[in-house]
Amino acid sequence: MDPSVVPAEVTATGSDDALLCRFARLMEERYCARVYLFGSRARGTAGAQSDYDLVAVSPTFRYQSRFRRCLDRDEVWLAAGGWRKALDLHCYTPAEFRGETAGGLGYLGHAKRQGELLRIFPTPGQSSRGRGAACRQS
Amino acid sequence: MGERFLLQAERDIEFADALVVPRGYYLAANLAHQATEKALKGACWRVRGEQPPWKHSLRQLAELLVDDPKQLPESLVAAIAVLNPILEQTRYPSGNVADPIPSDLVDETSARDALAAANEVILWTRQWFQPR
Repeated sequence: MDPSVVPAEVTATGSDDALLCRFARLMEERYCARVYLFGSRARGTAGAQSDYDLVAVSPTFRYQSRFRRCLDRDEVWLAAGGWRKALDLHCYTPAEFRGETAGGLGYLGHAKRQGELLRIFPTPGQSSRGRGAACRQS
Repeated sequence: MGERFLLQAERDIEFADALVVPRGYYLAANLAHQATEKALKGACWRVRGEQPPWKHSLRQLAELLVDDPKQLPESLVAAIAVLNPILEQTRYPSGNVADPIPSDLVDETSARDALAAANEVILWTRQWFQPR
């Protein structure tokens, strides 16, 4: 686990949280990614139309252009149940994520300082591949 | 109102294209995303008769125009996938001081890819503005 972020577990108590957990599970399966929530949904001030501001952190992004990471994000979001819900996903390598959060600059640094950067834990997997399966590289 | 948004989107994409030659790649890419967003919002307004959500999610706007995700053409899905990272990468410098700022981050290939993707989405939205 990234020591630069103190996670707060999000449990699947509501439909939104269930959506987030399903997305986190799919991202873990496909990209070995950890998923974090920030923004109004992390602050608890979101309205019905608010974006889902998420960060995916994966070593598989290391060799990809920032413009080519997780191109199937919308399909993953749809599979998780995000039909007609606004996803704003930011993709980082672990090193980039540390750079964004450790110094406290920018929106992620601010979110971390405010305690509004929440780790989303996947729901218990039903995946046939299971945890730690081979991750997509492109 | 939807027509006004589409018209603005078409102006945006015209000037976005012109920014490639003077190497304003990040601005071209950013404006391509903006144009796409406006075209989709215009179509939403036209089809649904109400204000679109004032969000930046291109996929959400496209989904509001169809009844089922299977109605989204593969070429449209692919184009939105190309445009998805653009806004974040071209708007503000990141919080990581080791990162390049947006003006140094976007190359010609990424800008041209964004423009082609934007044109694909804008073309798709025009179907809702044809005379009936």
